[in-house]
Amino acid sequence: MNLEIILVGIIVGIANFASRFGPFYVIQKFQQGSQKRGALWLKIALGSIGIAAISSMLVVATLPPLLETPDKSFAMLIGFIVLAGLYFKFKKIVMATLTAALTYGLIYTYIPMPF
Amino acid sequence: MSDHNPVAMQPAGFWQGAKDSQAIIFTYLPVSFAFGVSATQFGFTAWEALFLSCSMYAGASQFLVVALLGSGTSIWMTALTVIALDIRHLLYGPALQNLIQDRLNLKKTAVWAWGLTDEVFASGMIKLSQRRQEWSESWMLGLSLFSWLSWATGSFLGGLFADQVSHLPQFLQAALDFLLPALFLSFLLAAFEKKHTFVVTITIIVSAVACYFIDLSAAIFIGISSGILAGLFKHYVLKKPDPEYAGDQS
Repeated sequence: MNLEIILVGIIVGIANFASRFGPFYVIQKFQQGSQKRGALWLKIALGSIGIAAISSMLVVATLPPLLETPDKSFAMLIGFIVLAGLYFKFKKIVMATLTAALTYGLIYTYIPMPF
Repeated sequence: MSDHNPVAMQPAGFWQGAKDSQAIIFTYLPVSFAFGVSATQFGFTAWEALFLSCSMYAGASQFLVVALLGSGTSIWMTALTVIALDIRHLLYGPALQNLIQDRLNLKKTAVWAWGLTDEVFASGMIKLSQRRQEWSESWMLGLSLFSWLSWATGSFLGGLFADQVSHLPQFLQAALDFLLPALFLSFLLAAFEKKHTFVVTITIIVSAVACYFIDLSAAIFIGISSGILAGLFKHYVLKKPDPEYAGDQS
């Protein structure tokens, strides 16, 4: 195996582990023996991270392929509509996600809409 | 994860976590397969693709690693670039801990936090915000471990069968491109409540602008930061506190 790959894998792996586990470790140690919760502004900020992260990831997963290939717009729109409809009807993430992806694939392949 | 069953309110176990990782597994397998294919195109073997997925488990950043190393970039520059891309993960622990509010078993946490990718974080956050009593470290461990296994397996298979991709029907190849946007929209629909409207709107606008004018990884971090500021702005300036903070005045 390539030595460069091993080194990069180990270095980035350690950094990723530190960034994912480190905050839990620090918070647990910091809160040890203390019942005091954080300030309100901190609770609000932390409470906003989750929904903001999901929204940002949706944009980052959607926008670049759309900018690169505007022809995907129609298929993506239909894919999102199918997904939302199925999710609200059945509340099943797996089924809604896979069906929407298949719908997108079929429309993009067989009903091209050039922009 | 996706069902709203008011009856089941006891902590979910490891295997329930594994079962709830299905949405992530079905998304990770094809995306990591694509990573394996990409790695072989840059001259790496299936084993090297597997090693990267097992050791760094960095999702889309791994595509960048093989591209950078394949184009002759130094190890340190490659590592620093990927570390900078993944710095947003620092925010995920405090956000989850804010919802968990219990003491954690640090040994167990070390294992599931290793697999705290964007998607695992989103699943954990949805479980904690909607059905907190069902959340447990064992559930998180199952979710995290099976997501990681699917990512590693997909990478290896992609490396092994890179030359077979072109034999897939065209519409299936196209469908793979839409899996990640579809998964994140599913997560957003599952997590969304009316009180989130302002934060979501601001975040989407700001991250779209950042994505267009700056770059992808900066867009996630800038988007999350704008969401935090929007949450604070809504509470302190617009005076529209979320119900859970309505009584607090600090």
